[in-house]
Amino acid sequence: MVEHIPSFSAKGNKASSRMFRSYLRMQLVPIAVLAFIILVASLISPVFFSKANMQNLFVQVTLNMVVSMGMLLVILTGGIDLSVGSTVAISGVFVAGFMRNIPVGIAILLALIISTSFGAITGFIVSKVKIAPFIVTLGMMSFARGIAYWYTQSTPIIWTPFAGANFMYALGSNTLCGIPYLALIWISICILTALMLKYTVAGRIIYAIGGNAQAVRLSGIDVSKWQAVPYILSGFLCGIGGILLTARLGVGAPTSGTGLELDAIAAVVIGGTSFNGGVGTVSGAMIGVFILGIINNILDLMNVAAYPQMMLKGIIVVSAVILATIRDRYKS
Amino acid sequence: MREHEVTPILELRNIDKHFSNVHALKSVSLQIRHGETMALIGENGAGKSTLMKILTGVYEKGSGDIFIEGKKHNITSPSYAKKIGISQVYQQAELIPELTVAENILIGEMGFSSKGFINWKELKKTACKFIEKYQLSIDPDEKIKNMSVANRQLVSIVKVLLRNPKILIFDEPTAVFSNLEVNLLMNIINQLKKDQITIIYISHRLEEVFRIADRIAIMRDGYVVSVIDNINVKKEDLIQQMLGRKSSAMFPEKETPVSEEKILEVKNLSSEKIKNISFFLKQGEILGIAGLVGSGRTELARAIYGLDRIKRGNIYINGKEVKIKSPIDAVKHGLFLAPEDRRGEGLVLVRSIKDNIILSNFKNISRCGVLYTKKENSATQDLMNELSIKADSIHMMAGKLSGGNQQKVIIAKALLARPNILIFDEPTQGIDVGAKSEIYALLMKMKKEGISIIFISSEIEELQGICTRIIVMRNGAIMGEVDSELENSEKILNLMYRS
Repeated sequence: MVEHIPSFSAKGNKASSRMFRSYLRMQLVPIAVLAFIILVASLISPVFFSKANMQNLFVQVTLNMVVSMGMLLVILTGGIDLSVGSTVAISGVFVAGFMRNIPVGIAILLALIISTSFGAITGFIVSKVKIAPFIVTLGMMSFARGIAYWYTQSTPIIWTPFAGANFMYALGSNTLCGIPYLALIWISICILTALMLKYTVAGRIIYAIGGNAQAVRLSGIDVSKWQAVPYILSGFLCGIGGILLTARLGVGAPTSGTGLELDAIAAVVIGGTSFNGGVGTVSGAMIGVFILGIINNILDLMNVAAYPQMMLKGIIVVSAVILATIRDRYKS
Repeated sequence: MREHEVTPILELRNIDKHFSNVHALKSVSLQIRHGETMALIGENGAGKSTLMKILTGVYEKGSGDIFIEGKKHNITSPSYAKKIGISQVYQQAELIPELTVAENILIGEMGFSSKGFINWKELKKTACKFIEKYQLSIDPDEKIKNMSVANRQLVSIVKVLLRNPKILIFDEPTAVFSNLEVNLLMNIINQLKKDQITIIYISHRLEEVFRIADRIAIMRDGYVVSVIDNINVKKEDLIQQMLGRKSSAMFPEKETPVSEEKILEVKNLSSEKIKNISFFLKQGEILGIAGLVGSGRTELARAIYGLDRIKRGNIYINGKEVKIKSPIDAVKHGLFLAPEDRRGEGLVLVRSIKDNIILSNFKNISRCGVLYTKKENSATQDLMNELSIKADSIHMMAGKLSGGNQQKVIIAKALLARPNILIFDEPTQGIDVGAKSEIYALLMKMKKEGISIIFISSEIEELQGICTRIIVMRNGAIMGEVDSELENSEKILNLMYRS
């Protein structure tokens, strides 16, 4: 949404309208799927477009949105991060636990530092020791989840009685002009990610590494250093995700974020990001998150049980990718 | 002319082939007799491989006719070529590393399975029969991944033989072979000749050609210039015919004087693939490195650029010794490499021209990691205009460009890096003549601007055209240097091929 904002000014800039069209063409499948799902949702449920449900939807997508931005960066370099769900849990339980003894601001900072270091460890092993990211993050997924259980002794930590509860409560539940704080936060994170990818050296290098790491290496760029960056950022964003989740739920649960890696990967891939790396956009990933989010939302509204939801999600993910693949083949 | 000449097994009549604006084959006519071994020689780009690709159905011919045993055939696909008995031995590409020799030989062949089950006994027996027949020292139970490159090549030959081809094509089969392995292959070919199999043999190694060919066809610039019987042929004559008369119009004038200062000096450099290399590059000079594929020229560039580990030896830049352990160090010391494998190592194909060019230097277009979009666009646009890269815009995907334009993007990238020393590895490989001469002109321009260039190529003519000195490599070592008699192609060729 951000990196390709077309100029709708009266001047009608030609170049930007051409870019807008090429963007539409590129994102045709996810946009079409999103539009279709919104249409179905509004037909099925009269309350879908109500303010309360919209607020609810924008809050529901928060966790996946924040985590998907990190996942996007990792997949753009040709990697994968399976540890996101566990890192969210780590950050969530630590922030709730720390609040028992220290001011909430420092608790949040510490939780972020811890989750970012987990990302840094993953990034180091992937880029310097050169182990396949699938394996490293699979190990990290189990390791981090173990720590979350150990720290909490398997019991969710309720933060409400502790100092800083007011702040956490506001973070999780308040709105600004009708927009939930949580939504404001994820919108900012998406904008920042898009700006980073488009306007910074880091962004160009992340794309290029995914496209052809050897070409980047021959250009005299320290590929292994840059390969670690997305994992560190992913750890950081999972940290934010965990804090927001804890703020919203009122507890830091060691089970939180279970299965989140699948949602994040699905959102990124539905959004048109290539699993080989090098190709993909923030807006695509956002559309992917919304597609999954609206499906959950509408099934909740219809009181459909969780299991059919999971089944449907699986079908949607594979169908979207099939459609995109067919389109790519047709193009070439 | 004999009256009752036997119908040739293969006859090509006026085969013509264009690639966009390159005339690759010009009315090629060739007759090959049943059971003979015809060697096909010529410089890179003479059209040998194109002709073979038309025979094997990889390319479609432009015009002309192909007759097999007197019958006209229109070879439209590789499977059609296989069906009519034309087979080519490829370089190990179709072998599966995890399977054994026997499995690889017989994979895809019918008659060894019934109701979906494989008859392993039968399979192994047949494989052994072939291995024995050609006296190969290969264990049929060995896995391909554990075998040497040369032995793999032998396995692929056996695999092709199983199809009972009438015409067997070898394209540079010995490029990766040691002397001993060459002898093995020669024995196999002699056996095939006894079996009356017709062979077309393409090689740069003239000694092999003399050993096995009945006749030799020489190609140059898309023509078959002559076909001679392999009796009392002199190597010098062949080389002369391969080169023909020089066309120097393509090359710009070599005018700028070269300073005597050595900007780069390499002393006794050895890596896994190169042995004891010593040479120097003068300020503002274009130094050519000639050699066949596998002679170690690319590996020399890789060692200097920090891509391959250096075992021994020293590198000096401007008289000071430098340690180059990675391309990062190399770029820091003012080097830049335009690699041989454009698509695999040079470009990020899925990204735009702009994204590719700016990769080499973010300094002038960014501050604290943030890019100035305007500066970035104008810098790439300027380079695109200067090199006349033909594309819709700087945002066009690099993978969609033609080979020549892709090469220019790499040159643009190299220019943006502002190196003192530029290494070009086969910059003109696979691009058309027009783009080639443009690239020569660019090299000259860079030289004028004071960049010292190492230019690696398998085409002697272009090295002679633009270099001031040429180093010739073979088997990972420097065989000699040519500076005073650059026009003396025979001398260079003699150094390149083993004499």
